[in-house]
Amino acid sequence: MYKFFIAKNTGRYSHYPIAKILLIMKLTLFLLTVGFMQSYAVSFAQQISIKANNISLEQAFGEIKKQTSYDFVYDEALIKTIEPVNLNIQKLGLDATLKQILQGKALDYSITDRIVTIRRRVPRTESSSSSSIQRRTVTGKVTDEKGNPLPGTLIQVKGESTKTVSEVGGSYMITVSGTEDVLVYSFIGFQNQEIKVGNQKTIDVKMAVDEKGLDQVVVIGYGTVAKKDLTGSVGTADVKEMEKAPVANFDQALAGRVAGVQVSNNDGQPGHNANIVIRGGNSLTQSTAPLYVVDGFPMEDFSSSALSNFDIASISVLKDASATAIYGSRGANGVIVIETKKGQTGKPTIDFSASFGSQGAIKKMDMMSGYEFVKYQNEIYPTLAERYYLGNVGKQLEDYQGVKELDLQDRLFRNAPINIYNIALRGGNTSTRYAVSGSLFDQQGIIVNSSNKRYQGRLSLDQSISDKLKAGFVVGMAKNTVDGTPVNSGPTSSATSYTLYRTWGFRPVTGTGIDLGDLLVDPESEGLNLMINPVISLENEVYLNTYSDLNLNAFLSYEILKGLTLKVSGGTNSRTNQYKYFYNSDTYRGTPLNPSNFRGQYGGVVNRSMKGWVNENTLTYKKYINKDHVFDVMGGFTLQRRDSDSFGYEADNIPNEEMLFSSLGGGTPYRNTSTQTYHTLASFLGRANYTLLTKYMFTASFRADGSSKFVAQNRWGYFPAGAFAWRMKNENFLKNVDMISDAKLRLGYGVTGNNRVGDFDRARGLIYTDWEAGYSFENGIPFKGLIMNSMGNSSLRWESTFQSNIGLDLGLVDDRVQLTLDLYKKNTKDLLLLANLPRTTGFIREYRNIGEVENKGLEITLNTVNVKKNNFSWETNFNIAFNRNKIISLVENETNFLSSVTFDSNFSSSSPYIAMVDRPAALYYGYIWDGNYQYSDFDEVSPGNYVLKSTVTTNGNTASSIQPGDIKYRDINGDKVVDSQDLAVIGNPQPLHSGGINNIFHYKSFSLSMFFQWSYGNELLNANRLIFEGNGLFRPLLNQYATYENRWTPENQNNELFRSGGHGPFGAYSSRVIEDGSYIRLKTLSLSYRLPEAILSKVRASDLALTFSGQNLITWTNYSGMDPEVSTRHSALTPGFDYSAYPIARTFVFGITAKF
Amino acid sequence: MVSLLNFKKMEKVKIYIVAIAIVGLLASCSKFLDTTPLDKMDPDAIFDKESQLDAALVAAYDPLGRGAVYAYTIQTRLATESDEGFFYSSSRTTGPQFYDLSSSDPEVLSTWTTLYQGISRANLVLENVDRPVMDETRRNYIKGEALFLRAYYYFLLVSNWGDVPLLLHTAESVEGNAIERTPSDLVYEQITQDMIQAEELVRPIQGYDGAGRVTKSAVRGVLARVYLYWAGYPLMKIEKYQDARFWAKKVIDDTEAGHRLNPSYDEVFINYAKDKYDNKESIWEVEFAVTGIYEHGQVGSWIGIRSTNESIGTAYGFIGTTHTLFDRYKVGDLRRDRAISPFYYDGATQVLFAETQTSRRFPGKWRREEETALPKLNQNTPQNYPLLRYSDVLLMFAEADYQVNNQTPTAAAYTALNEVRRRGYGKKLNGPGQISETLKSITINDGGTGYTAAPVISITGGGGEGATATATVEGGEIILVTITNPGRKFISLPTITVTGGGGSGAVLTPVLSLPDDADLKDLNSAEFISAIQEERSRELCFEGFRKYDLIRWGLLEIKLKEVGSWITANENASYKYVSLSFDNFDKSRHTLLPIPQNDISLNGLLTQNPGY
Repeated sequence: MYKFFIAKNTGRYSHYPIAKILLIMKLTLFLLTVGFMQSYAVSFAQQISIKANNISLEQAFGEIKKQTSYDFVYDEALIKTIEPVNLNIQKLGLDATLKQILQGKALDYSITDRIVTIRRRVPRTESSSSSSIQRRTVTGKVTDEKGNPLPGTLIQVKGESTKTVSEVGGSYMITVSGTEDVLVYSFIGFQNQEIKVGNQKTIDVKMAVDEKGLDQVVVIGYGTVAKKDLTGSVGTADVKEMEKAPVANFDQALAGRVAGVQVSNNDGQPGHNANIVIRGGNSLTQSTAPLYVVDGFPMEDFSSSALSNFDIASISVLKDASATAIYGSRGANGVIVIETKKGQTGKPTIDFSASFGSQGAIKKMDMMSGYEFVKYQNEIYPTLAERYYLGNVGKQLEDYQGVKELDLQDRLFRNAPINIYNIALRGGNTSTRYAVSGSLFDQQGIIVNSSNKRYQGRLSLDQSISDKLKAGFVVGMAKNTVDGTPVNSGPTSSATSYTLYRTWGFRPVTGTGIDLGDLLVDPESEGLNLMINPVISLENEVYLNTYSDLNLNAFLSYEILKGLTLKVSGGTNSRTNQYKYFYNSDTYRGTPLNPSNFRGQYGGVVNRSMKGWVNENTLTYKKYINKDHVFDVMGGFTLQRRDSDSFGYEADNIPNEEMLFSSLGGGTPYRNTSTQTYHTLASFLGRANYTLLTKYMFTASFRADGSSKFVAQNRWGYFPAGAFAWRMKNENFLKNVDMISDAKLRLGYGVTGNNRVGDFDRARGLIYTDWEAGYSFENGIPFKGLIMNSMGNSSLRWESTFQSNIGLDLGLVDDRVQLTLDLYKKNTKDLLLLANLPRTTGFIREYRNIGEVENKGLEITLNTVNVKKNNFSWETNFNIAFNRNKIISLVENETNFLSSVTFDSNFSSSSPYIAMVDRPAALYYGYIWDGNYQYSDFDEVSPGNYVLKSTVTTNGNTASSIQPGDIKYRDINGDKVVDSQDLAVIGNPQPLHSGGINNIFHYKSFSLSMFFQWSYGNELLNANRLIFEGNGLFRPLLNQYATYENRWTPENQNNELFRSGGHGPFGAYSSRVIEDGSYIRLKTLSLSYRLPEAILSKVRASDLALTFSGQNLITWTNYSGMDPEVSTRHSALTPGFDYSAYPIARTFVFGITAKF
Repeated sequence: MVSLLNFKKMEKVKIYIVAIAIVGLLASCSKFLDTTPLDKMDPDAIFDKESQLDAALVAAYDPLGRGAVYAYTIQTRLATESDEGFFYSSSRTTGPQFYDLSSSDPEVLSTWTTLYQGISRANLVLENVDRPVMDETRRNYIKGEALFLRAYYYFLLVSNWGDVPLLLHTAESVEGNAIERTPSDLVYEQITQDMIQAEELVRPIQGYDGAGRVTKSAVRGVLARVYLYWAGYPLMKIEKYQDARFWAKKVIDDTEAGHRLNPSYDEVFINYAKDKYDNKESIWEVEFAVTGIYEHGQVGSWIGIRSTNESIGTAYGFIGTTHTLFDRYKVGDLRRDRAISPFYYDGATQVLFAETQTSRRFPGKWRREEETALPKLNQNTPQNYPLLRYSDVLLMFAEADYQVNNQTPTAAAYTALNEVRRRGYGKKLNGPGQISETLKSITINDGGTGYTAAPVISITGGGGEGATATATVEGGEIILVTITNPGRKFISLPTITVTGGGGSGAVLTPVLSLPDDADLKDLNSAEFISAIQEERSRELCFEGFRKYDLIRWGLLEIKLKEVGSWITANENASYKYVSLSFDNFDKSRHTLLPIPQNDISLNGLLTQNPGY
């Protein structure tokens, strides 16, 4: 029987004493430089000379290896049976040498990929003339999708006992008995393949990875590992499924795909990135975004728009400390490791896909009808109503029944096209692999004058220079244009400046019958109540962001000794952003009619750029001692630098606005900005894995990071982690339990860091500034002031997260059911907090290492293959995560602090969020809503004249002004006055759990996947209702939501909505507008039909499919706003705020994918 | 042929290369990580140039012009809500202007923060003032201005919060910033000590054309104010009246500086609108920029005559005036119709308030239509705001002199008081030594006959201008003549002609005011101090002093409750809300602002003011 030796051979022919290997290892563990590469000097000369008597074949092969560097593979037992030989070879080639050595022996050889395989000579089968069976041999090569040889693949003739195993180079030879034979190729971790022999003599097979299998290779930091050998908590996203979502960036498709990865969109504005938080936020004031590692390049500020969904080969999410600690100071928020698609060995393939579709708003808000509006106006502003709608224009309320109404939502929202094109060419041979891809994403927004257009190109090349030296590079480019004023925020802190305020609030009718739809300004509005048509304004606004990304990564790897590989990689990453805006006189912000516009017609251009480079040098050593002891060690050294700068010019009162950006010079300079900063990072890292008896797996990792962000004494941070996994399945007590196909328990603990502070927050420094410290003397142009803009904190150091994780991986019924459970607890100490200071210092906030936050939770992932038949299969992937976040301590004596949001100046003195010790980082804070005042709360001093009883609490207004039907708040301290003493926690924005479930069906040529995603138990603050359900800013001419029809009136005495004008004190947040934000939505639905072979062959395609996909198709929620996936003031301290959010679109696309 | 030995040599070479590389790396690593800030300058490495000191001083002035201080907060949130005005907008019901505030009030925090920023910036100047090589006189100016500004910010702090932490150096570290409140008396000691030192260092006002810089006159006048506050409630250090008198007198007696009142009260304020300086009267001002986009103020907008018209200049007009203030002006006092706007805007048109509307007018000192700088920005104005006017110095002198002389009015006190009053009554409009009178009354010698409608009364001649009057007719006869504008600058009796109205025969005789009818005399002690208290309001209303004056006189509660009762009794229902601040006022806590909760939380040594 042929024996497979690949692992064993790695050490065997290294002809160096073990002691020396250890010495080299010790030294190289420290590491390394590019200079190493120069030592590559292996002789390619195949001129072999051997003169020896009575040497064993093994010795002979050893000598040949020395002279040629060719490896040998053979069955030890077989070779040992051969007598020693006498050799006298003078400058012969390899073939001739081998022939001479093996002459007359029952051995054959073959050479593939610099590997010489020696095996028993197969005696030729005599063809039996009496048999009709034509026995013949088929040869070929088995590779994986990337073209790497797959030695050890079992090749069987289906239904017969004939079988063989592929050799080191992946080549095989098998004898078949006829054209009808079917060959079955199988290899653990790959999908079985069956190929009918037919007339083929050579069958090369490319094996596809079985991504669901335990042998699936998972990309982790600085390496890969088979899923079965994972000791840490690493989630992988099903990128094939994610590709089906018609979205711009992968982050928008990631929600619900991986347990513990919470992805939320702030709103639906095209081109905006989603927020990703892994296992709850550690930081209060700093970014909670994970570290991204794209093709080995670590980036803290990665933008998903730099990458096309279709170029992503894999996404791994490193969650626990044992997985992330290898990224040390930057691993605490979790790490998302992305590998892009590379070239594959074999015939070049062209992948093409195109989709076309349409997006629309999921809903629009029901506004009051014209009749309802006039009725309401007459209640709240009777004088104005008389003037604009009734007597003065000769009309009665009844005249407004059924009149033509204007709803600007119909003009603001539109059905917008979306087009996505991708094309890729990938191919290669055993030494060169390449991939070229390009994509175009073109999306118009569902609100007028908003869009996102992106071009991407990517090129990768992998080259084997010799069997020891490999090199490669990836270069990616992207140009992303995001157009359109952000709908959810603007430069002013007035609620009225927001697009949806003006859309919803625009009057549905006028008394004079003039059509407001085409007018910029509602002629009957004025002053602070001026209503400017949002559609016309938007159409005239320029708000344009252009991003250009260029990323280049290159590597050289060199196998110094068997198993010992040096990899030197380097990369640069640059992103430039040009931000341009212009508001002409036909826009809300630029019109001189707007009384709060003091900039006239204005515009500006700001250029920002970020550039970085990284150099990483790692040395990996793998040692397979025997099957009971396997270890690998990796050590490395990296350097990284990041520069950023920005330069901008903005101007006001531009006289010649029609010239747009070329007119800026004619205006008054508003602000010239220039900033420049950089930081550097140097790190040493190491990791060791050891597997004992195939059951016990140990991982230890360590990283030391030196960062320029901290002073020399605090510069170095050390991040150790360890993990242990127990593969219980390999224990005797489970070995024979067939039901359980895999069982593994994982334990991990480690420390990771966070360094996300400014580059120079450590240093005191002075700056010149006009905005913060200028002053004008003698009416002159203001002088700039010189101030200490920050106190600088030289004691700043890393924030440390201590995380423990217990995980269980269970496979049942031949892994058709795979369950992963993870329990974790992480405590983030020395929180890098933008901490409040006593203002007596003259400073407001400085970065400090203060406070502690805890996150603990449970994650469950369950993947099942429910049905697997020839024509039909059904798989389900389910995940759910529970996270509890808690503040353990804050700055010094602080037990809580309030956080406000910029929304409207009338609300500027109210803070809707509170952060409290022992509670989650953010809770809603405000008055408890108690319905409305009813007649029973009043004394009727004279007919129709109601005075609040002295026993009844006021709502913050003076008692004499409170009337029946006014809003009522709870008086907590019982002093009969609702004031700041009565503020309370009124809701929790954190979900109890969130997750996703995907069902994938295959039926013949059809595939259907239905992906649902949910969030449960989180509450939202619907600030729109403050304005549009009761007119909380008391603005005339402002339309209201239709729900406000159900307000308190003497005829409708309820505890729902307060009477017209009964809104109570301005600027109060209350539990009235806190709503359940739970939802479950059919996030992605994709149906595809693979065209039959007959058609494929006609167009010479290997695959051709038609697809239909939809995004955000159905949402089940009780939330009354536009969409429950919203957070328009997103931060760890202020999540879940909804005001004038760009609605998330519902998208349908039809597409075609083809492979040639 | 490559031998085994050679291979070993190669490996050794590799090892050496690695070893050398590692040593090199470790050495270069620390250099690689030593970065230098590109976005800020090392404080120890600069301040070798005078220009840097100048710029640091600019930063120390900056808080004066911030929103939280004089751009609008002091006028519209902290000070004018005494008996002169109220927050005239129904859209807010809480905040310091309504005496309804908690220790978390963001505006209170913002003012507190801005003042301490000013102190920190002044400290930065003082810590580095000796470093550059420069002219010593200019160094003294810088040092004196910084000392004075620091003291002035402490003065604002102590008068709003009472005992406050006293920091005389920039904060060194984010740690260890817990600091106790210093008793007010000691804060006043520091303020006066610094100001007295500054007085020696800063430039004299003569030779200086502006009013934004701190000059000797400014320091002296403000010192008088500081001592008056110290002498009054709550510290009651009455011996400090002596110092107040000393410093006020020093301004008055400074013949080189030559301080005098501008003959026209109106022109004082028109000057602010037109960005003109008259530092003979307006000694120290908050400077708001005329050009550019930042460093503007809201004087004229937040506190001003409400307007949505761009050519007038848009103005929020957040402050309404009280009946109490209106009533405080007597006939012939020309200041009333400047301090309280007699009109409102309907678009660009001025519409006179009904004579009966004595409340809810707008402060008229700062009028956007008088601005000359173009374009007129929405809400943002170039108008400077006075911090020390000569009339204030005169009144402070009169008050201190009265107190020093055992609460007896002296001739000098009368002189100073009447100097201010005469200007207020228009007696100086024709220049020094000239008669300038107004129309006091019109006597009906003969009511005439046959009048079916009110005839037109025209007043001409007499050297004066602007006088107008209306007639009331009953039974064909003129029975009453009402002066609608007393005019100004009359040197002799004008001629009155009566035309129209269908009648004839009316004979009307004008009566002019008398040269000394603006003067007060022969008052007893109580009447005199009361007159000073009223006069300060008439002269200085809406300039940010009234609340603090009433506090030091112990009158704040009484005066506020008076206004509140008037509103409750007289305002129509839809404007009752304007009484909120007067009703809310609680003497047990509202004379001081709360120490911001932010600082209480972070500074364990701080205590809160009573009632918060």
